[in-house]
Formats: sequence, C-alpha cells, structure tokens
Amino acid sequence: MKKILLVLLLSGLLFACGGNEDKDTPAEEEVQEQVDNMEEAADKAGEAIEDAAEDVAEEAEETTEKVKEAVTGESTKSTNGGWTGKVVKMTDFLSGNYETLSVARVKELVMAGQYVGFLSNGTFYMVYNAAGNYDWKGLAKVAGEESVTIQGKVSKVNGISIIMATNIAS
Amino acid sequence: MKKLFVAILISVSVMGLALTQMDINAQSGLTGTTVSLSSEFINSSVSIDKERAVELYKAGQALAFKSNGKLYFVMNAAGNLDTKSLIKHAGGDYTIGGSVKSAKGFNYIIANSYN
Repeated sequence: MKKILLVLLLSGLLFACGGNEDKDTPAEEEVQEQVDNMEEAADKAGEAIEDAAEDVAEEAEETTEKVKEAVTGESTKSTNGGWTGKVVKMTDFLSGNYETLSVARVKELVMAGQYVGFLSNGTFYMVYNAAGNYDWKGLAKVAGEESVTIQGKVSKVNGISIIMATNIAS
Repeated sequence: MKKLFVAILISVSVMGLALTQMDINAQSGLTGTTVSLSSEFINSSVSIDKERAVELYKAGQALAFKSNGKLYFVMNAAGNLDTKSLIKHAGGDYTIGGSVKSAKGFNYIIANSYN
C-alpha cells in the first residue's frame, strides 16, 4: 500500500515537472506556485519514504527478536508498571500443589537447595537482583503475600523466564 | 505479502508454544556439567568446581545441570530439587540417568542415577 502511495507521489512529482514545459511565458506567480507544489510533493514523498523505512526497521527488529528467541531461547523486555503475582516454590509450580510460604520457610527451602520464584499470569520467574544474584531474600520478604508486584526487566534465557528486579513490593 | 509473513510468524509461534507445553518423557542418560544459573543468565557460561558449587549453595544461589547447551533442573524421585547431587558431581562432566521432561517452560530431569 505504501509502495503504491510512494509511486503515485513520485508520478505526481514528475507530472508537475512536466507541466512546466507547456508554458511558454509563465507568470512569476504561476512559477512560484509550481515550485511550491513541487516542494510539497517532494516533502510528501520524503515523509512516505521515511515512514516506510521506519515500518521496515520495526518489522525487522521484531522479526529479529522472534527469531533470536526461537533459536537461542533468549528475549528481553522491560516493564515500568511491574508484574503482579505471588512467591511460590519451583517444584510446587511443576506439581500444581502450592504450599503457603513464609519468610522462615523460604529461607529453610533455599538453604536446602530448593528454589522459590515468582508466579505471574501462569509463568514462573526466577528473580535476580541488579548485581545478578538470585534474589531469594527479596522474595522471602514478601512470601505469603497474596499480591506481590515486581518491577524490572523480564528475560527468557534457555527457556527459563527471569526477572532482573529493580523493586519488589507487596 | 506482509499479512502472509505475519500469518507464518503466528503459526510458528503457536506451534512452538504447543511443543514447549508438551511433556516429553524419555528414559535416557544426559552428559553435562553443573553450572551456576546466575552465570548462565549473564552469558558468562563457566563450569564450576565443587568448592565453588558449595560456596554458591551456601549463599542460596541456584545451580542447574547443563547438557548440550540446554539447562535442566534436576529432581529426585520424591520431587525435590537434587541440588546436593549437582554439588557432589560439580567440576567435571557426568551423566544423569532418569526421566527427561519439558513442561511449563522448564526442562528438568527426574534423576535415578549419576555416573
């Protein structure tokens, strides 16, 4: 569609140029009007080209991201509003039977090599802090709360969903 | 053309999603090594030795098993993460026998042997 528009605009521009030849002795105003028309047509053509280029670039970026995710299992997106969910034990997420957690219980689990994470909209996230460490302590503080909000950057690495958290609040 | 491209992308995504939600049961042995999840997430994939694995475990940092570029959580028959076995075998390649599964976005092994 944009290509057709572009072709039409360029045709208009050429037509406008051609129209100038028919005038043997054009008045100064007519010349100015034609120059203005040509400039306007050129501007529109330029805008159409820029829009088309932006669309192509956006599509290429989205496609690259999807292909990257499909091939390497990696993707990244940021969130300002945050993700809402609750703290759960990883193995409970797999079994579907959820244990009620507390600060002490989370510590006990992690010290026994069992991991907790954040369940939001059916997805289990491992939560990391800005330093890149597994932030079980941040999760422990809000364990047992029905509604926890985490802000940060969400990524998917090797099939595992993670949040690099900037804020954890209940 | 654009619509066709978008339709193909959506179809591929739906098929991929369906596959990742599918349970894949396979009785097999996987050879790999113990890794730190944090290191994997920041793309500094390095094999860790037993001492480092113990250090990470004590700090509550997550460990996993990496085989052929894939990360697996390892569980025992009781359904608990078998972090202690990952620590025990850290520092070199080893083979885990058991049931390999893929569900809810996770790859995991229900282990019954370590060699």
